[in-house]
Amino acid sequence: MTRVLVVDDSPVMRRYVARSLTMTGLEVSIYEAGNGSDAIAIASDIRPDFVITDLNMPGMSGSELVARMHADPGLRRVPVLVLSADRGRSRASELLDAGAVAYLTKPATPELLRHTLMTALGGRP
Amino acid sequence: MSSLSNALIAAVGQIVESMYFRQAVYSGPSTLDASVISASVSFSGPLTGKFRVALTSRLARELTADFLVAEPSEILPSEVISTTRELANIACGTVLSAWLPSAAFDFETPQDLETGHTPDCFAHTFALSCGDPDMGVDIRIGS
Repeated sequence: MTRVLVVDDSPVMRRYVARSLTMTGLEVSIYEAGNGSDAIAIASDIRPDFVITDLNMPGMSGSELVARMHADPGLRRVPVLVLSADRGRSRASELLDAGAVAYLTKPATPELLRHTLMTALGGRP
Repeated sequence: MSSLSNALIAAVGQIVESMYFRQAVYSGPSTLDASVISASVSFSGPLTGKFRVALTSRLARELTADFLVAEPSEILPSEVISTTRELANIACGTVLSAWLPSAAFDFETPQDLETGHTPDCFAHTFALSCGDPDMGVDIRIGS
């Protein structure tokens, strides 16, 4: 079972992402966090296989989460997908340079989320 | 019609279709003659301003049910508000990037606006549900 941590301050977006992954037939366990700080604590505890994070969140943002995970020897190998309403090309480049494996803009279809997760995990799900 | 209006109309149509599998029919400036749920997003960068989305209560509930693949009767009021915020967030980012593709903006967390009947006239309204305008969208530059 692939452990996926979904980080978004919007409960409905967390639910949308979780449903999108499960409805495509992936066998995943979903964990949720409402901001970057909570995500770091949960990730340190459960060691997820994959993280999907929003960018603009109160407290620790998605950008800082990516940087913190990349700097943590125990978490830097965890693939992080940034899912944001911000379509700026420079923002996507910054996040990819900081260690994110992919940058998708909302609303991403379930198929695109599944494809991105499978690609990042080498087809494991 | 301005390039900003064209970008807004195209972006709203695209979002509504991809998120909710509905068609948004542009209705021009109008007042939503119903109680509404609305949210706004402030942005800054090359331009500063505010983006506002308002939905009739009925449409907001229907869209939330579509988004979460649930029956409208199962939807909680907090989920309706959260979905409206997310719609404002996504629409704002999409409209600005369509209008100014090379610009970089910062976005504030979406805020709820006062709910209830609004006498405001929206610069852009759309019909998604019953044929009458039930979505209003405004973008204000320089606020």
